[in-house]
Amino acid sequence: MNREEAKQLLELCRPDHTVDRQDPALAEAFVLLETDAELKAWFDQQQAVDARISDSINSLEAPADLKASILAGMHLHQANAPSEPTDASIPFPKEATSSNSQRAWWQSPWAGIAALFAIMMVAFTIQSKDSSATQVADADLPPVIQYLSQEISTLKSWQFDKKDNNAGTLQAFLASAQVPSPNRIPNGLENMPTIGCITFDYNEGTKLSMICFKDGEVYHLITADKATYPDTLPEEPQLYQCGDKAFKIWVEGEQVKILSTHGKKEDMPEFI
Amino acid sequence: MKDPETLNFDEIVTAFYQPLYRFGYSLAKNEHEAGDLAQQTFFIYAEKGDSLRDKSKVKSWLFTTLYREFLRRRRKDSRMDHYEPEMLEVVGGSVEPHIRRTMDANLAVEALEEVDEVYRQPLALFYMKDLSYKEIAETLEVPIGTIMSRLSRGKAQLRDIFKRKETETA
Repeated sequence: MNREEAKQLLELCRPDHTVDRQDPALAEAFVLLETDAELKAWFDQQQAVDARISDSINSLEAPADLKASILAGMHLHQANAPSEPTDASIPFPKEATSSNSQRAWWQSPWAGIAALFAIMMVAFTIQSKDSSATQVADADLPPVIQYLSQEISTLKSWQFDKKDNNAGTLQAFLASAQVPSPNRIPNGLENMPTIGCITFDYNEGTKLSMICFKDGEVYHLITADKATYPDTLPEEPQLYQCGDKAFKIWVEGEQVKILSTHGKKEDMPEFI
Repeated sequence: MKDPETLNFDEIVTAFYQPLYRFGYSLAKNEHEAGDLAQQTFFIYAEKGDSLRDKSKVKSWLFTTLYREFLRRRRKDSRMDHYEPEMLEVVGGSVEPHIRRTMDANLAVEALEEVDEVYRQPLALFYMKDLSYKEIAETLEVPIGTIMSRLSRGKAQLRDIFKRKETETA
């Protein structure tokens, strides 16, 4: 092995890198170092410069919240994953020990009053039911809403499949790509400029398309085929709140539409 | 660090998010995209990591995945129009930009950015020291001999640029 060949191999050796030092392919080059003073001087100088560059590059730190952002995203993703059935049993409440518990509930003098109160509450609830077609439901946030909330939060402009300021162009693009394309743009969005569109693969094969509109505020119109929609179909338009985003889901023909914007669900404009 | 085969997901993130970010930065030359590449890599690992039979390979698997994701995005970007910067403010936040800490870090990273891309990729992995040169070759999917020649030429280029920048700064 001559000096030039040794240099080629020794350039692969990083300062203080045990694996490199012990690499059999470099062994002969290291032997030559011990007998060639000029090669040794060259090697020491290379190592010093490499050490300085390596230290500098490795001092480049990721943003402080990157790790937390990664873990939060993964925990949210896991929370949306189908849950496995468990064998955990639900413990029964402990037996009551007071003397009153010895009497059957219907024997209590308060039973009749409690029953009457319950009947009155049911009647009141039925009467005060909102006459509008839209139901507000937060207790059971559909998985697709949680998924979309996360996707919208992390969406970057370079992720758009197509960017155009005309909704018709984006509708045609989605149709040509054989993904759900909104058959009708809601009234309030019809003449609004668009930013672009993107397709999501949700829940093993369900395609969701999203067109983003911008007119000061940004609105996201998501479209899915009713036939492949994985969640329960709403009988009436439903409003949801997920973090700082409001969502409205409704069925229109053979499509499920979801509209999302920043803000409260109570302030969601009546676009449909 | 614990044996990679015994690390849980949180520990894998802790162990590798920094080096992945640095590699992503060397590829994208952009802090936002470097963070996104790291995030997407761990997402892919969460989805597909179970298929990795040899858990001791998780490190090189992560670097390879990040590199492929970078290439995939670049191919996709080449088909898209130039974006307007104001869209980023509207469609959602991301990890905030970050200020580098030392003058030396500035110079070395800036010098690396000026190196030809074909050399910059193996150089970044080389100086980060996380992968052996064999693993670097596997990550970038090129023969070991090619890695050797690219490292040699890349190092020469990087040193010239680094020295020039040090002179300019002094």
